[in-house]
Amino acid sequence: RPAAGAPQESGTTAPAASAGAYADAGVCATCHEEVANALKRTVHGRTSVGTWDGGVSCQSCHGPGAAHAEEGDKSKIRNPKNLSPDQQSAVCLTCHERGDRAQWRGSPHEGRGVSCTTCHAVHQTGDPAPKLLRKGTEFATCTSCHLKRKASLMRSAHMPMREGSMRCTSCHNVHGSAGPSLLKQFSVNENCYACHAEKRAPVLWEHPPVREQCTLCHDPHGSLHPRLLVAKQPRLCQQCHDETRHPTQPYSDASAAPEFFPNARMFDRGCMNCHSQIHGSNHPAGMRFLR
Amino acid sequence: PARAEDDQDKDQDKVEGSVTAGPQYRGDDRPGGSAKFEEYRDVPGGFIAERFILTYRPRDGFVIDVDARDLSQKDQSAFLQFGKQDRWKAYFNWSENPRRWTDQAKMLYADRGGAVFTLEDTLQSAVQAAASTSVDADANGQWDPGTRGALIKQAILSGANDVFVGYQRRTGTGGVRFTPTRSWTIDVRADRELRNGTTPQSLGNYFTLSPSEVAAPVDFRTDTATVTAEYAHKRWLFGAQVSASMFDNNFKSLTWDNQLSLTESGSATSAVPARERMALWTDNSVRRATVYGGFDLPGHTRVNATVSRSETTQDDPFLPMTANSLLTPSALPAASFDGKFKNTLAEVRVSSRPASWIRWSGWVRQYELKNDSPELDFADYVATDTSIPFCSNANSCGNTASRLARRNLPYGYEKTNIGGSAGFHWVQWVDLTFGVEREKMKRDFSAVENSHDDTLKLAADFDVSDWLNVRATLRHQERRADSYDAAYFEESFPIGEQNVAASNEGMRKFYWTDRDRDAASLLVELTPHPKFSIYMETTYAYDAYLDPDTGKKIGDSFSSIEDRDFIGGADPPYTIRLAGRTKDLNTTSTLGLSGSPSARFNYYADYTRERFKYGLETRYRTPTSGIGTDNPLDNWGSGAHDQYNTANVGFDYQLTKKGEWKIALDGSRSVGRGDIETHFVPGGNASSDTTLTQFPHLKTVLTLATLSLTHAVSKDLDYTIRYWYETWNEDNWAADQMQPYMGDPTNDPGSVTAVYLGMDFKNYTNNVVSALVRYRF
Repeated sequence: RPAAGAPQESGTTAPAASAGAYADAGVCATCHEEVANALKRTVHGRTSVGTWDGGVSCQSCHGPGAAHAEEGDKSKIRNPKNLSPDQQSAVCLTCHERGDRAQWRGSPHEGRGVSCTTCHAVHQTGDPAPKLLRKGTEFATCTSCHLKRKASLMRSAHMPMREGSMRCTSCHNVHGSAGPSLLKQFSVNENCYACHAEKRAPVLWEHPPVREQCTLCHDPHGSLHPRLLVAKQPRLCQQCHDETRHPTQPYSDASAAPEFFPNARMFDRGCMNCHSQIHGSNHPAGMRFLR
Repeated sequence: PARAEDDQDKDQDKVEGSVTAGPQYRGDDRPGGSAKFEEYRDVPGGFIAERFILTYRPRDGFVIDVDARDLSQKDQSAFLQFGKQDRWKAYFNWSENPRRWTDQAKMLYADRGGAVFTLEDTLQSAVQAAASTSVDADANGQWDPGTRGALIKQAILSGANDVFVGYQRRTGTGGVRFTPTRSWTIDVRADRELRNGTTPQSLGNYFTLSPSEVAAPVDFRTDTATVTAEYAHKRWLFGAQVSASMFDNNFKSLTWDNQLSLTESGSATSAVPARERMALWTDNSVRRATVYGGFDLPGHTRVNATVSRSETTQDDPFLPMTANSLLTPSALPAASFDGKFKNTLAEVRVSSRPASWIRWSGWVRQYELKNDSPELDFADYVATDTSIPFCSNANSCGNTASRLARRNLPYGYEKTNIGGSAGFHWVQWVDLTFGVEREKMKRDFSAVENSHDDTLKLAADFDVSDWLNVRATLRHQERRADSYDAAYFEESFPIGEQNVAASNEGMRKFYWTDRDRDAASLLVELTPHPKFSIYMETTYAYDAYLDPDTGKKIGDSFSSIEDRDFIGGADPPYTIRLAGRTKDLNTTSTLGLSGSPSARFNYYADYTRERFKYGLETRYRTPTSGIGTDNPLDNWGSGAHDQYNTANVGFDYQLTKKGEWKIALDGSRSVGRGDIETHFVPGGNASSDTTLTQFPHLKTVLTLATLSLTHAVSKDLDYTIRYWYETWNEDNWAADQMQPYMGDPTNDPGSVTAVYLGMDFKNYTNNVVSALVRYRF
C-alpha cells in the first residue's frame, strides 16, 4: 500500500533534493557499504545511465549528495520514503518514463496513490527478485490488493497461471496502457488474439458477440465451466438465444422422438455439440456455425 | 570500507549463477495419472533439472544472462540475453507448455490424415440398413439388437480406440534492443508460435443427423515481426511501432463419414450424405502501425496520446457448399472470401497535479473495428450436407418453390469513451476521487445500432494511520440504447428466412438491452501491531436488464398488435414476453491475516467466498408451426448459480538462528459448485409436451499443499526436500456420463446415434516428492 502521510509537494517531476552539487561517484559506499554492495547485484547498480541533469548511481534517485556526504545531515539528501506516492514515482520516471511505462501518469494505479515503490523495492538483500518486486513474484504482488484474483487461480478451468506459464503481465500492463482494463493490447479481443491468432480472421459468417468481446462468454481469470465459460451451457447461449428453432425447455429425460429432443445437444458442450464453429465460420453453408 | 567503484573491477570475468536439480518421485493414485494434473504442465518422475541461472561478465559492461527452467520437460523454458550494458542487448526466449484436453477419450473414427476421418464401411452400411428409430421393446434398458442405437453402441464399445487429445505450444522469441544514446531505444523482435497436436472437435449436424466428435489435428504457426523506435526527452517522448503477423493453419477443412449412411441417397435438394465437411480456421495476417507519445505542460500536467491502425485480412478459398454429390446448390458468388478488418485506435489522456491537494485527468478514446469484408449473396445454401432449404412461408418469401437465399452481414463496431476524474487530498487521512465517463457504442447490423453507457464513480482512500488503510469504490452505470429495432431478427436474414413469424420479438440479447449496474468494493488493511496484519476485501456488482423500447424489466410482458404471419387483414394481438437475461449478481468476500512474530517466522491465512447468480426469463415456443404457441402459461425462468470457496494457509520458519534450516508450508483448498434451477410460472406448462428437469449440480474440489525443508550446507550449497500433495475431484453430470457412449434408453435417448469422444478427466490424488540440490557458483 502507499505509505500514509501528507505529500510534501506536488510533483510530476522528481522533487528536488537539497540544492547543491553531486558527490563523487562511489562516495556513498563509504558509509552505506552494505546497501551499495546489494545494489550492485541489480541493474540499478550496473547502469551508467544517469538523470537528465547528470545524476548517476545512488544520486540518480537520491539527488545531489555532496552536502549530505560532507555533513552527514539526513535532511540534505532525498529519501524517497518521505515522499508522496506521486513524488516517489516521479523519481523513478526520470529514467523509466518510456516504453511500457510511458503511460503511467494518468493510469488507474497512479490515480489511486500507487507508486513504483508500492510494488518494487530498489534496495534488496540477497538475490534480487524478478523486476525487483517487493513480494518476490508478480502474482503475490498483484494479489496483495486484488485479493479475489488469488482465489480465481484455483478454479477448475483456468489459464496456465498456477502452472507458471502465464503471469498477470501476460495480459495486463500494470504501468498504464491505451487498452481497457490496463490490457496490453488495444481491445479485449486483440489481447486474446495475441495467443489465439486463429480467431482473429474476418470470416464470412460472423458471430457478433464473439467479434465484439471475448469476455462476453469467457472469464479469463477462471471459471467452474469448461473453456472458461462465464456460465453453464446451455444457459450461456440462452442468454441471447431462446427463440425458435430449438425447444426452449432446458432439459428433458424422456422423449418419443429421440433424435428431435434436446438431450444430445445439452450434454458435453451443449449447444456447441452442433454449433461447433461458434467463433465464426468461413464455410459457405456455415451461417448457423455448424460448418 | 571499500568504495563501490573499486569493486567494479572485481565484477569483470565473474561468473555467477546456480543450478537446481535432483530426483523426483511421483506417486499417482492410478496408473497413468490424470491429464487434469498435467493439463498445462509436465511433472515427471526421475531426475529433473528445475532451474539453471548464469550471469557472466566477460569484460567491462558486457553481460550474458541465462535462465532456464524445467529443461527437457514439456513445459520447459529458456532465456538467453547478452549485450553491452546500457548500449545493446540481444535476447532469445523459448518456452513450451502442453494443453491436455482429456485422458479418457475414445475415438470410433479412424484418422486418415489430412483431417479426414472415416468409419468402417460395415458399420455405416449396417446402420443405414437398420430402422431409423431405436427401440427397447423388452424394456431392459438396452436398445434392441439390430437397431441403430445398438449398432452404434456396440461399435463404440468394441471398436473405439483410446486417443490422446491435446497439443503442445512452443513459443520462440528473438530480438535486439539498441540504445545508441540515452534518448533512443530501437527494438527489433521476431516471434514464432507453433501449436501441434489435436483438439476436440464436435461435428455439427442438424436435427436429422446425430453429432459426432473427433480429435481434430492442430497444426498452427504464427510468425510476428515487430520494430519499435522511441525517442525520450526530459519532458516529452515519441515512439513508433510497426508489426506484421501471419497465421498459418495447415488444415483448412475437416471431412468425416456420416455414421448413419455409407452411401448417398435422395434427391437433388434433399439427400442423405455419406460424408460431410466443415471449414476450420483460415489463414490470416495482421499489419499494424502505431505512434505514441507524451509531453509535459505547465502545472505538472502530462499529455499522453496513442494512434494505431491495423488491417487484418484473409482470403482463403471457399470450400464447396457441400460434400454431398447428389445435392445441386447454385454456384458460389465468389471463389474466396476477401475478408478485411481495419482497426483504429486514437486516445488522448491528460493528467495533472497542479497542487499537492488536487489532481485531475481527462481522456478521449475511440476504437473502431471497421469491417470491410464484402457482403455476398448466396442464392441458396446446403444445411449440414443434407438439404437445400426452401421458403416455407409463402407470405414472407413469395414462393415455396424458392430456395432460401442468404447474405452475410459484415459486423463491425465503433466505441468512443469520453471521461474525466478529479481527485482531492485536502487532509492527510483521506483521498477522494470523482469520475465520470460516457461510452458510446455504434454497431453495424444490430438491433441496437447506437447506445451509450454512462458511469459515475466515487473512490475514497483512507490512510487513517500506519495501522489502518481503507479503500472504497462506488460505481453506478446506466447503459441505454438510442433506439431499438425489434424487427431486426427479420431483417438480419432478409432473403427468405423460414419460420420468421415464429421468432420471439420479445427477445432482447443481453448485451443489447438497457442495463443498470451498481458496483461497490471495499478493501481494508488493519495492522494493529507491526508484526500482525488483517486484510479484507468485499465486492458487490448487480446488473438489472431493461427493455429499450418500453423501459420494462426483462421478464415482464406486454401486448402488441402486429403482422407476424404476413397474411393480410386485421393483425392479431400478441402477448410478448421480454425474454432474456434479467439480472446478474456477483459478490465476493475475502478475509485474511498475515504476521511475522519474529524475523524467523512468517505466516498467512485467507478465505475467499465468491457468488455469481444469473437470471433468465423467457417463454416456451414450439418450432413446428409457422407462428408457434404464444401462451403466458409457457413462461419459464431459470437461475444459474456458481459459487467458489477458497482457503489458503501457509508459513515459513527458520529452524535455526542463522537460517541454515528452513521449513515452509503452503496449502489451499478450493470448492466450486454450479447449478441451474428452472421453473414454469405457477400453473404453467401449457404446451404440455415437456417436463422441466433441474440440472444436476456441478462440483469441483481442488486441494493442494507443498511442504519443503531446506538445509543450507554452506553459502553455495543447499538442498530442499519437497513434498507436494494435490487432489482434484469433479462431479460433472454431463462429462461423467460421456464414457463415451451415453445413448441408452434410460440414460439419454436423444443421443442414440451420437458418436462422441467421451471427454472427461480422471479425478486424481498425487504425491510428489523431490530432493533438489542447489549449487551456487
